[in-house]
Amino acid sequence: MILAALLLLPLGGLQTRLVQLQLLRPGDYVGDLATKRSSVELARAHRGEILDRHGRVLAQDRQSFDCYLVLEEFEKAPWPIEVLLGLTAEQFQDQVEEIYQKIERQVQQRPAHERRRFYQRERRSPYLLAPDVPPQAAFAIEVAPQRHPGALIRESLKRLYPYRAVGSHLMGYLGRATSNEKEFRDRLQDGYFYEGFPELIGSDGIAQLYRRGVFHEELIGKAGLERKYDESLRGKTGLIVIEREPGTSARNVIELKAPEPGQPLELTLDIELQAAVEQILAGPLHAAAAVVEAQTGAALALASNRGYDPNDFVPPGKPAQVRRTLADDEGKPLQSRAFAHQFQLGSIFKLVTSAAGLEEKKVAAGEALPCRGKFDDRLTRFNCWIWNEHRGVHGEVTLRQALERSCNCYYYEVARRCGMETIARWARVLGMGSATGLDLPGEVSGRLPERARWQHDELSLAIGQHELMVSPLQAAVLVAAIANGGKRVTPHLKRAEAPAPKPLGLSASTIQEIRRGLHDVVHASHGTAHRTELKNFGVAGKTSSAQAGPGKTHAWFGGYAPHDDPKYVVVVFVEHGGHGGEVAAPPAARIFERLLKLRETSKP
Amino acid sequence: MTTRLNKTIVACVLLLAGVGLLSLWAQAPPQELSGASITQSVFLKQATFVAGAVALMGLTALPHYQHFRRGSAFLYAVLCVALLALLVMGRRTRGALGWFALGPINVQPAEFMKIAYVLTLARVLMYGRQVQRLSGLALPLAVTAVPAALILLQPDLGTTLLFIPTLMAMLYTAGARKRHLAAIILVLAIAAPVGYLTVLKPYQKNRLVAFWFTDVPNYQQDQSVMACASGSFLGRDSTSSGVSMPIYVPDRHTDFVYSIVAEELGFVGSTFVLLLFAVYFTQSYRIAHQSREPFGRLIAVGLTTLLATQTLINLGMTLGVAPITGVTLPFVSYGGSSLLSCALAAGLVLNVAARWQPGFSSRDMAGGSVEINNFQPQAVKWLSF
Repeated sequence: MILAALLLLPLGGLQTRLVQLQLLRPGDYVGDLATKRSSVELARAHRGEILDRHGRVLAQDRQSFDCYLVLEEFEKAPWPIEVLLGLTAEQFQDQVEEIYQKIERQVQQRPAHERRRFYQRERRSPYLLAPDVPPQAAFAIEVAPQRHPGALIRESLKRLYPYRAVGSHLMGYLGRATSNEKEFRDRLQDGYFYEGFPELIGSDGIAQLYRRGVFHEELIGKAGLERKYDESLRGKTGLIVIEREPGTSARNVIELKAPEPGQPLELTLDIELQAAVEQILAGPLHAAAAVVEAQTGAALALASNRGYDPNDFVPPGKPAQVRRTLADDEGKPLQSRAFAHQFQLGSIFKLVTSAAGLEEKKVAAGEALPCRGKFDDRLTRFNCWIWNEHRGVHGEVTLRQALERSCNCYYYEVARRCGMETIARWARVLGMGSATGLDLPGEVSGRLPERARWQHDELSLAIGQHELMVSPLQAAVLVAAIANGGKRVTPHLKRAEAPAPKPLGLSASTIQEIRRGLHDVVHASHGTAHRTELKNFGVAGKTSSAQAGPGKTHAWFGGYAPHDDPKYVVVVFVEHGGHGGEVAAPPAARIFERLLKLRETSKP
Repeated sequence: MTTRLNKTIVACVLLLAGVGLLSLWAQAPPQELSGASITQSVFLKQATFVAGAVALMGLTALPHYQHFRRGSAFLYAVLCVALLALLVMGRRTRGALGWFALGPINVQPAEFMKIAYVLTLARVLMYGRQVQRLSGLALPLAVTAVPAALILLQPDLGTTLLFIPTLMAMLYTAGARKRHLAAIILVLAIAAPVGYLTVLKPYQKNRLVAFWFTDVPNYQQDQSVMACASGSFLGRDSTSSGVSMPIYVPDRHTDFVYSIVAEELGFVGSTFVLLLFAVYFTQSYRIAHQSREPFGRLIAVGLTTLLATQTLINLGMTLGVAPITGVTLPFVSYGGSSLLSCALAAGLVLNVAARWQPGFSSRDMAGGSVEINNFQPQAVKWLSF
């Protein structure tokens, strides 16, 4: 049949090819099989830079040198390699032990008759001994390989944070992918580390890389922005084949897949402002501050005055320092107090109660309610602070005056009229009880009690006590809603990433009335923040002195500026600081001063 | 040639499967990535599949092949749905997904689609005359285009390519006019560069480019060629102290299994395998030629061309004379779906062979009386084999 004949032609051709390959000139194709050793390696991609809003580099890769060890060559002629590399004897032993374990893991997978041959082969292959060795060591080894048998230097990349501890909670840090077993396995299954490899080296090629421990050396973002945007920052790893002649440093590199560098991450953060804020907050008490744009929610600074240097965490890092940081239970430097912790809020919550009262028409703007020091003679706990501290009364106060003086009795009455559920509902609308949506891992959602369990719970909630817990960032979202005319913003660090601010349905008159009160807090004679420098900067806001247990009071200030055309929202929180007006307002004033100065210098 | 089992075909299949097992024995593949050990060793797994395949081959040859005609359209439709489902699911994972993972077994619908396609196309073409008109080609082309497109989008270029020669061969057998066939080839030739630019993924383009231009690295194929060449006459002596590292060829046990044969068994072994294939295909075509019933002839032609094209592409790729496309070597490559679908194909061919009835052509008459006493009833008696 014709078809059969058609078939025999190509078969004949293939036969000829066999003859050519195997009989005629095999040497042409086989090459230096006996002497060359080739291995498939990863070609790491440059990780994307993290930049602040002015383009300043907050995180970048710099060139580093990794030292690899070939066990057989080294053990034939050992020399004090750990001295050159700056490792202790113990560290060196640990590393060698790890290399043996990697080899062991691969040997176990082979069938019994192949194991010995495989083991011998792996002892002749390079394995990572120490990442980021001092350059002098690297040069010494490169320049005179015969004097340093078994050592190989390969260029690599190391993550560097030039601003060190400034904004550390925001940057995060890189760590080994294997530090979390489950996450590592999930990523492996997903193909996170080897995108594009199956077509080049097949699934067994990937399995080989895995057993050599190549993926175990991968670094991924463990915290902060490095973690949140890890996928776009890391780019795509490439593949190369390295052929080397043992005993020399001759190397032939074949590129199978070029690495793709990661995407740079542009932030809304202003690192100089962040540094200034962290400086302002420095002191023996734990404190935090959130600075966001009132109209958009873009985060300009999120500071917490117990932090760490991420450079210590990136392997090899400084393990002793890391241990100290992790062990600090009191300072808790790894979580930012600006968004990863929640606290009793206190009087700033009166913004919610005001909004609830006005919107639900339970109280009118001009309506004056009495403050007699004690709200109800039958109740011992619900007094106005002016009674508790000075045995005084506020008299008849309108909403505006109640905000200015932070009168509790006014708000107790509003709470009684509204009821717990209504107040809780408005609180939820204004962002309490749920995470703000900041693009960082670890944000807390706060706590919002929605139903009264005990009698008079609504009174406690109205002044921001009870079980209510809020993070400084949530407080910022609340203040921003008043500042920008009734929209709930989503705080964000990555530029151009946030959803649009959501209108909350607050009427203009409500906003206006609350704003008047907030203005008076700073500028009017009975304002709780009257005696600070805030008035020099056109700030409007609210203080808070929240009870957090017997004898412990959290100091807060949340405000915005300029009060007639709000641009910035600042919330300052000082843990166990005392009076908001005395302790939190002055740092806020200095932050506003800085903000307005920056605004002037950046004007064209 | 009797109406019983075609021993040549069976022998070829068994020998090829045996070579496959031998290559698994000689160079054990690494274990799975997830770290969990394979339930049996890979060798045992393939051995089980071989046993299953032989059984399947026997079972397929048992009922008259006309029975398959009725089920073919249904099977075709089911497999189209399966391929579509695969495409939809595959969007969610990163790499090329050609299979459903059912516990420890991976099922590749594309492999079985090939068989269903041949059966369905044969059914369409068997009624003769309309194929000679241009409009009559519409249905066969449609029947081809649907699975080919679904498979191409997986992406699986190699398996898609198999459809073309199979279609050509079956059309030719059904009596299509040569100029129509030429026209189809022309259209495909024009469509190829367009397809290259639009449909192919970057790595597939890379493979083609790497094949043609020598300064682009072609690691996988170079390694394969190196392995084949190192076999020289009788196979590489890998226990000698000279060469200590096994040559690393990616996908060695599936697509590039011939490189193991060439390396371990040398020129002698690789030629032997080539001969086995040659014998198998010539026998297969002969069965087709001798079958006078249109459906039988068509399926025999189709299945043979399918496997033959696959073999040629695979061997070409392994030996470095064709660009890399992901097709396995029938019967030899490791893989359940591949083995079972080839077994189905061989079984159907055996089926056609077994139903051969002597014809009363003038040539037969001229040689004397026809051998009627070899006539067998419908069911094939296995025990008389």
